[in-house]
Amino acid sequence: MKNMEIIDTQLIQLLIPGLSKLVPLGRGGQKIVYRGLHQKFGYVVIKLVSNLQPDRRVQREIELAIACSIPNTAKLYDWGIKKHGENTYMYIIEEFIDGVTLRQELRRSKSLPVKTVINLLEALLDITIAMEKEGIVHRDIKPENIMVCRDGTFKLLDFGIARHLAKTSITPTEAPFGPHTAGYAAPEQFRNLKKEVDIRADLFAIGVVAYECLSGVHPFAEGARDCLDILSRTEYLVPPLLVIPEDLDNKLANFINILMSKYPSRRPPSAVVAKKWFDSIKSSIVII
Amino acid sequence: MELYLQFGYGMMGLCRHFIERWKGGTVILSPRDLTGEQIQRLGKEIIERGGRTLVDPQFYDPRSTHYRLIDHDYWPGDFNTNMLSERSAVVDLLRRLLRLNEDACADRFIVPGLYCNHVNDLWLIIQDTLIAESARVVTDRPRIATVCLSGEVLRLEDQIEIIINAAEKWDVSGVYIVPEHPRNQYLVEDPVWVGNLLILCSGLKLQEKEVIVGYSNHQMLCMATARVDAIASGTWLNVRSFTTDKFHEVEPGEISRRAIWYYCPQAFSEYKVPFLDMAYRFGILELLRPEASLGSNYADILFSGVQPTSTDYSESKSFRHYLQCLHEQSLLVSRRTYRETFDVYHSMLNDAESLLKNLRQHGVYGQDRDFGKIVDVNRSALAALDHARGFVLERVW
Repeated sequence: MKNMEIIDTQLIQLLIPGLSKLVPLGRGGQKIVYRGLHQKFGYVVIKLVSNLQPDRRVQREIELAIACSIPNTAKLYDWGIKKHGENTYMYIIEEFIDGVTLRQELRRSKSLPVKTVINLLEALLDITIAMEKEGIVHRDIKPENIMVCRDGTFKLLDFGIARHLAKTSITPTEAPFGPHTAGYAAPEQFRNLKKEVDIRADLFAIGVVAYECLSGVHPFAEGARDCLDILSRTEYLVPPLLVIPEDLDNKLANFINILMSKYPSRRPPSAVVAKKWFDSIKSSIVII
Repeated sequence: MELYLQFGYGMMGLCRHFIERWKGGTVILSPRDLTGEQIQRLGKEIIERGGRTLVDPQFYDPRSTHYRLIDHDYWPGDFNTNMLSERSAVVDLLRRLLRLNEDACADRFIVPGLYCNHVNDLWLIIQDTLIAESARVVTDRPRIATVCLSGEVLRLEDQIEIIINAAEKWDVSGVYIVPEHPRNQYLVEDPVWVGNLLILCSGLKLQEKEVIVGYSNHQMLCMATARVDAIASGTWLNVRSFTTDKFHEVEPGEISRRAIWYYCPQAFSEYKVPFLDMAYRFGILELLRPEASLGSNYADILFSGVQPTSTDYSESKSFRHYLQCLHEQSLLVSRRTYRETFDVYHSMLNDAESLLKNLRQHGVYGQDRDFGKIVDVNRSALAALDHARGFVLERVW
């Protein structure tokens, strides 16, 4: 049996030379995330997975990052596999984005002004258009994975469970649930209905994020007993139409609700069409 | 929205008449009511008059023993579902059907589809198989998939959405929907059924497919709000509403007791002629006269100044009047935008409701063909459509 090493800054610097000023950012499963200063790339994020078993989701993240160039996402600088003793590690070095997560921003200010949400929607829809062109579905759009940069722009992170539609799925077909974050995942996604998971699943998540940012309330999680209750609400609840003072004809509110339609056929058929509808609605919003 | 003629018993002359009168139009030919030779002959006559034909395979239940259906060359002699897993059997069926289509001069091919009382893997696999094989066999004309749904399936939103999702991958240019009316109702009293049918049709239209709703009556004028390309209707009730019964049993021949009905287009209701006598007695018969713009003079005799039952308003005139009015109403209700179409149809419902109230106050009732109880059904269904798809239909029409 392999000995599990403790992953600390010392080990990271040993595995990946040229790094300094390492600060832990988080840990999830077998993955740890650090921020550091790379002598070539400047400030970076390092994701390291102890590869006791090959982590196919991280590999997928890497493959996607290399194969596709999606704007407003963290640039991939380097990746590789390193051995240390009996253990094997996979790592990714990507651009460090200076800012806070949207979740941190929401904790601070509860809700966001409509102008900011419009900018957010614009950014996310542009990203989904690029993903759609590459045949990718992100599948984990949520405030924790959206960075609010210092210059006010937005970037999308963490393609860990992104699915390249043309490639074989990692989740077994017979699995009752597909990979998801409860409350942001569309019903067809968490029910692992693979044939139905396309960019419209990401549009659903964008609708939920927009709703939460404008109202300060998660449309499906608010008042839910537990995770299963959230999933159930995602399937049956129709969130009340938002009242947005600047949205005189309720066009924006209706658009957000359409994005959150339970059935994919009732959402915009593609990211391009969603953006087109959004652009036509944007001009009707009265910002004072 | 067009009106297609849904062929049924005794409609040969009527089809010829209307295709000539309308200088075009489409007839959906029925193997249940026509032999192979009749299909060939009538098909040519329709084409010569400037019309188009379609052949409805009526393959809803391949185990049917209806005497005319089983007489057709394409009908399998001894059907079991294993046949559908044998490629050669499916190909053979489709080839024979194609020959029938060629005989009928049909310019589009309706792919057979089984009656669905639950949208499950099995039905979907069969549907996919028939469509996929038809693409290999029928290469010279567009193909239209049949979706024949039970009344129960049409009540279930989830089931409808499964079909819409599946249809995204169907390699066909159109869908021919055959919706079973619940409990043999002629006018459907269930807003959920009507609403789900609207949602289904609009979902398919958003996939840029042609959508035809078969076995329709005037209640289906609301389908214009879903941008349906055509509804199909005919003379007898069995071609104005679909039930599987008529595809199982042997036709009894002439229907023994039948009344003659007058269709009042502005009320969306049909009346037995004695009730027109009531209107005549109260001096309000003129309220029932169709507008001249509908172009139907078939019922003029009822408004000639004498008691309606004393005229020779016949069954044939009744059918022709109904179909002429429905033809014009179908065109009238379809407008340039979703909102216009929605508003026009709503307005027609409102006007019908006022008129019906007035007529009932004077003892003029349509009985089980009175649209009074259906106005709210259709209104409710439209609300369902607007809620589900209004935003999208306003942008994609």
